[in-house]
Amino acid sequence: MSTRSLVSSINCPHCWTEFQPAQVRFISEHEALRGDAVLGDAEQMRFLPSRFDARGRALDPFGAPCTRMACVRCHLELPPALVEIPQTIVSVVGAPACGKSVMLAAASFSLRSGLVVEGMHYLDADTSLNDLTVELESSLFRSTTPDTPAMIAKTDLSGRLYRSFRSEDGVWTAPKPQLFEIARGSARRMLCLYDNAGEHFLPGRESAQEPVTRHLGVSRALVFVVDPTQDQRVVERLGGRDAVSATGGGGTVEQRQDLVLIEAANRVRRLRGLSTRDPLPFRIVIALAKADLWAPIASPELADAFRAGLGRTSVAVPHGEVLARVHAASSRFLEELMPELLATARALDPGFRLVPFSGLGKPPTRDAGGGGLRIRPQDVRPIWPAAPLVVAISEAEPAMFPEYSVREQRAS
Amino acid sequence: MSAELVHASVQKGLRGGSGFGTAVVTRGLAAPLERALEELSAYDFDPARAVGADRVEWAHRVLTVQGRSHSVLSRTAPCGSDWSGRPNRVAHHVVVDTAERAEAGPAWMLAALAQGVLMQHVPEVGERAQGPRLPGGALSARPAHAWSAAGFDPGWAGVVARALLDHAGAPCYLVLPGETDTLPLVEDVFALLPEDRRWHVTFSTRFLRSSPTARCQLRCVRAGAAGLRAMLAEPGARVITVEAGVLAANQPGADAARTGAPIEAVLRMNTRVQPVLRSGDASRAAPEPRGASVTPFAPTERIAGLSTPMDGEARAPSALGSARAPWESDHRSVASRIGVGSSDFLAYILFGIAAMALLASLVLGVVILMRD
Repeated sequence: MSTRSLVSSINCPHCWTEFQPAQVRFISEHEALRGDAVLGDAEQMRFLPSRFDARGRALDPFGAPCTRMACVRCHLELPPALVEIPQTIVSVVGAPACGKSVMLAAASFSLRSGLVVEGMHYLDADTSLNDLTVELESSLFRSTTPDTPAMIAKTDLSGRLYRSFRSEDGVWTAPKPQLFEIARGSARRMLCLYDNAGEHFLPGRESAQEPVTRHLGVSRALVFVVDPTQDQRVVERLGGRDAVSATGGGGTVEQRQDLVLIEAANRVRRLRGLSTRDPLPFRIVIALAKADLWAPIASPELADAFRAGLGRTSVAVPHGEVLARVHAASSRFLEELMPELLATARALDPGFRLVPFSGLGKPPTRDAGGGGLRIRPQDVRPIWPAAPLVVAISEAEPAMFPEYSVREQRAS
Repeated sequence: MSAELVHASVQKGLRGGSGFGTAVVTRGLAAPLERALEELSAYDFDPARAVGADRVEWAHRVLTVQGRSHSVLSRTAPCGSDWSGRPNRVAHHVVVDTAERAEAGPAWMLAALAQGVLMQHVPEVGERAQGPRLPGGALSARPAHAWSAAGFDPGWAGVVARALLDHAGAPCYLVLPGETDTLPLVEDVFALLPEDRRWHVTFSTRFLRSSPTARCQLRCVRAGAAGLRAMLAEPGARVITVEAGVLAANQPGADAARTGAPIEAVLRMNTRVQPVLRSGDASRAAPEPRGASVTPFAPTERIAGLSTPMDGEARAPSALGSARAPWESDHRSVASRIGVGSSDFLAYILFGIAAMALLASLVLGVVILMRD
């Protein structure tokens, strides 16, 4: 029997309760043990094991060996690797329609290829739990009908993207986590991501019974997705609202994205009990979405990188010095057209990082009659789709990706 | 009075912000109820993953919010693209007041509301002074013609009706072979149910997932859908699989549906005895007879003055939170039915036992004295 070294504590990716591996509940296997106090009659009973077989597997009250584990509070299933691999929760935040789902799908798809970062492995921790990511990827990046135009659906506020459980006399709803094992050299991490609806981050949307954004209280990195084409000033420079909307841009949206960032920072402070004077406990990475649309008016360097219709896929994360130059160019762009966003980011985290990307690499087109936006999967060419995520992980785990971490580069 | 809520992706919702939000609401709708209705508004666009049998979700659910139950009729369906160019859906919910319930039942009322009341497109954002005017009407038992028209044996409608009546506390999955226009089928089932049972029965024609706060008994699902197997494994769930050309034969209720005869539930006495805690102050005791008429043991018996558990009466606080399982009310109802005389009866028995014990000890004492 191989030995297992356990982590000192686990943060449940469903309800974010912190507990020790010794407290983990097991999911009974015997058919007669149907029904759980927290999850209801449809689920197998969860229990704290006291008997184990010779192979170290927990035995349920009817003697059936059990291998599936669950959280001590919400009783939702946890991948077994979570008790062995330290977890890195990355919060992906942004206003509605800024491109969070497209970024997650494009990043996940490209990270699986192994071409994003040299020597990095990226695997699903549990394929049954990660069905949302698989579904997002299959709609645009692994489509079985590549010549049929499609688009990723808008993330809903409820439904199967979320899980409910009963605890402490209440019914709670939490987003379904997407868990991936990432490894580089000898370092291994459990990457935990959530595909929240943008509406959840709007001021006033937080609810005690729907703690859908409480991952902000335990996350180790924050990716704030910004769609510059939702800003009126950028829209004007790009030729007006109709021109931008026709190519998949946000057009003019009344929602101010800098306020969403402030709201996210406030939630982080509230959930962690931080003073307003305390610095945020992580680096803010601002992912500038739909760069293929706005890069031409930003800088020649960005325009070259994101020129629409390049006909090639650039999934690899650029080198550190390229990222630094891109950061500077993006900073100038924001200073000119979205100065309040830049000022907010600076105020919240002076060391923030700006990383542009394009999840599709090419503007989608509108249906005849001004209908929905569609793109043929075979035309999708993401450019730096995983760069914001890798930069965020590098800030949380600098030893794993030293070439992308500013902290690590300064130290060296 | 009834109230309504329309939920869709809008550029600027009634509560501010863009994206999914409230587009229309009746003034005065409680915020927790509004949030709970929002929860019911989800729609699964992916045809490969959706489990529901119908493209449109027609639903009657009993929603429990902060200890109060509400009967909610809903229609949720795709409605083109939203302001950001992505697929949109519109969910229209109507909270039906007890007095406004049509005798014909919720399925009939949904079909009637579909004619011009329930939104098929995103309406202009705004608050409305009052809820929609709800139609009234009666519906007598009739042969299940919609089932025949859909290519199914009409007897299946009776099988479904029988399962709904006989297993009121259990979910019932109606597995249909493919995407089907399901509301007419459900209307046929409701026509066979006794009038006083119709508003007790909840359903969804495009079932998404079970919710701890919304009761949904009849769940129409599509055969072969991903994840269906796990759903059907739910303990106690009734599964009725319907296929074109397959006869319901002589299963219970089948003949009634073919001939259009009403279906009565089988009288089954619940023999389980449940302990009931009673408050010493009778005036503070929970209004037990109200909310206790979901009675699997005598469903055909209409009890004067009793109403359904979704009347909006506040329930007694429960350690399990606001959403209580249906069978809990059954236990309460058993107790409430026999409760009027049972406590006195119990007291008589206890008194009798005590008296007999006293008498026995007296006799024993006398015998001991006489021996001495």
